Amino acid sequence: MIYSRRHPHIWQMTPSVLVGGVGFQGDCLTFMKMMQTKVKLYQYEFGRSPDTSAIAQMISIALYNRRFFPYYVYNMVAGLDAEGRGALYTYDPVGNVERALYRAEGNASAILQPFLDNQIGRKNQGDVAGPGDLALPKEDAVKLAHDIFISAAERDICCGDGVVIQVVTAAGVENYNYQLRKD
Amino acid sequence: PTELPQPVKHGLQSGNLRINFNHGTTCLAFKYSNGIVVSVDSRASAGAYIASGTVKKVIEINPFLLGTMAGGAADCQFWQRVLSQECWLYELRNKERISVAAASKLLANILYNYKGYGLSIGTMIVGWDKKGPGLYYVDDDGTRHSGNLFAVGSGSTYAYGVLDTCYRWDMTDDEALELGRRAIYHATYRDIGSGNSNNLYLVKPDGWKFIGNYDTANLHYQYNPVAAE
Repeated sequence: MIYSRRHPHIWQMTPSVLVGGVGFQGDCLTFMKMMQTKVKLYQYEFGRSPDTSAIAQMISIALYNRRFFPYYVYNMVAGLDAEGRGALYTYDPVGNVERALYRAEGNASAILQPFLDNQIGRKNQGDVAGPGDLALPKEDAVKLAHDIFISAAERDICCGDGVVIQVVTAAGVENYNYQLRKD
Repeated sequence: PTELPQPVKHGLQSGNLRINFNHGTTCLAFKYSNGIVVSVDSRASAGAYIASGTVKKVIEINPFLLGTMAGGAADCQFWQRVLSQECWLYELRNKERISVAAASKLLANILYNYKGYGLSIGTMIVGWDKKGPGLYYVDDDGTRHSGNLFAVGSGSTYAYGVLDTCYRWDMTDDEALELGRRAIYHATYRDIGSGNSNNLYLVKPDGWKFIGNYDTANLHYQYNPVAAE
């Protein structure tokens, strides 16, 4: 049953940090609202927004606190690190955290992750170098993300209708919304 | 709920729904005449899916203490972070670095309190203190053993095969590191739960040093060169 054709999975925690979560929607909603509250409390206590690594750690602990009745959510944190470079953190439902260059989670994850391994990680391409500097222009990165979701919509019944792409840069967060096949 | 969630060996299950947590799977450590070698793989599996091939299974507790990760990834990560905090507090209160015996016991006692709750942790606490090299195996049912050589995880049996055949107390650093590398390579070859790459650490009196990350796919062709046509 499709309950909604537009239900974004990315939440903005601070002007420069985005958190995405998929899985059981009840836990996703609750967890995201809880994290927004924790960020607010951090702001009241320290007088500034938490940076990406602080939010990343907070999420790991918050997930583990429910170790014996877990949040059924697969999270990802996107932002900029202390050096101004892109930072991505990925989690399992109980808080195992790892910083990564790219990641796919959700229903189509098993289809998309190998594609990312090949196109962004440049794996299994023989002598072609590894991810290297990831010096992809922003327009190309957005196009790639769009193409990835077109593929997801082709081969996974749960993916489709639309995709929300958000880009975190030093200037802030930009939004790109595209329509996908609606079947 | 009609059926409360039950802890399952690898994850959480309630009726048909099953959440798989990330698991980590071959770690080894051994003392020798000049130090301690710690060698681990880097695969995390969520059920049959390889969730990550770049997991850091050696947790750097402090510049003189290392902990390895086998079992539940989040369990190991979280509780070894708690151990780092406790070790730091010990240093502040006692004005000296904590011993490996004390650090491993702190962890073992914490885990014993959660015995039966379904935590999955098989770790080795490795370090160098004033009594010399220290190596302890600690796990989620409260076991704590001191020893000269341990392998932990689903690939441990394969690692033991290589280790028990080639281990000697008198080895040079290079020989010891090569043994650590080979043992993990063989475990990754035969165990489906282990793989991707090998992270090697060497522990000396002045602390631990990260030696390198070795892709096990490349190691295979290094150890089994394909003859030119």
